[in-house]
Amino acid sequence: MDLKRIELLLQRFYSGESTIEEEKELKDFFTTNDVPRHMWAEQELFTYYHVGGKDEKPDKELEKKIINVIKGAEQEGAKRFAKRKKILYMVSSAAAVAAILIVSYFAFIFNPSMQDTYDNPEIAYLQAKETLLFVSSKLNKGTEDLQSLSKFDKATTQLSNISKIGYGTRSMYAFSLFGSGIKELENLSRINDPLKDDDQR
Amino acid sequence: MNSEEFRNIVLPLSNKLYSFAFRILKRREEAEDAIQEVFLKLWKLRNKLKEYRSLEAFAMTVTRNYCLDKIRTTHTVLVEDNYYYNDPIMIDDTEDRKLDLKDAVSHVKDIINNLPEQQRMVIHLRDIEGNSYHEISEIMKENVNTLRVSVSRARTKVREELNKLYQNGSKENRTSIAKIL
Repeated sequence: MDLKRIELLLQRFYSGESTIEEEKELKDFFTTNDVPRHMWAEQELFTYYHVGGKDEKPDKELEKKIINVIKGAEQEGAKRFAKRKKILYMVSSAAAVAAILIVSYFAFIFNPSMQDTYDNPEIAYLQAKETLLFVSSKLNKGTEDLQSLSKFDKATTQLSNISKIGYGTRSMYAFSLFGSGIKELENLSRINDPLKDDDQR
Repeated sequence: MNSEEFRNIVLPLSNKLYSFAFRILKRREEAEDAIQEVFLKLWKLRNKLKEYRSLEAFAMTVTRNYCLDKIRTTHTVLVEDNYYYNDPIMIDDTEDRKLDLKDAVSHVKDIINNLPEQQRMVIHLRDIEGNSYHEISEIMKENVNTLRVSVSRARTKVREELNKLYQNGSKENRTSIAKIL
């Protein structure tokens, strides 16, 4: 090997100008030849480059570890998603309740119709009366439908007919009069001994 | 990208990403943790991965950013492995040089690991992984000229440190021989 060429390549190497091919040439030279003493440093350097870069091998299990880390993260992610969904439900229901409360608050407390719009109280009174009458008429219309409920009552009155059975039994009371009739007839037997009565007198 | 594609295309990058992460973080456990986080990120981005021109360059960029972030946010002061300064390379002038591969690995590795982050990364990408400057530029988000300067500085620094070791070694060797004589 031409030492002059090697010197030139080294110069290019140290100035950062050498190409990959030139560097390979240097590697080959220094790992296969005895070299002059002033190049021992380079020999050591290129020997390291030749074998060395690979001196740090990762754990054989590294790929397995990587897969496990990814799997773990995926599972945790799924769990977190489920949790987040739950929280979202809770938050949205709470928000709905809050919204209802707020809306009703504004509707009832800050209702603009509550403001006094009439200057004359009498007119206001009449207006209110009219309105209330109107409302009550509507209410009555509503209660009209409720009248069919009175059919319940009809039904119950028909049930009261059952009590007529009582009438029947009361009428049977007349039979008991037979009894008293017979007792009266007993008095007839006294006809036979009117004298006794006289004696007693 | 479904999970099978991810397994077949992205997961095989783990070795390359790991050695890059190790070069930046210098510690095994930290590099492994970093790679797991990086893959988790890539997994979450799996539906966008096909949009990148080079998936590998993108994955390397993610790794680089994550590792640099880690260094900055945790304020981990990485212990500088300076012991190579106290471990000179002994040279016996009379014997033929036989380079011990183990020594070569540990000396150069220590020196590279003591370079500034930027230089450490470019040396790794260029001299160890053999990427083109264009690819490195895509990973590091730096222009090619800046990278060439970084590479040049890093290589020069490594040579300097190695030469120091050889000089110390031979000097010590000589003084010890002198003592014996």
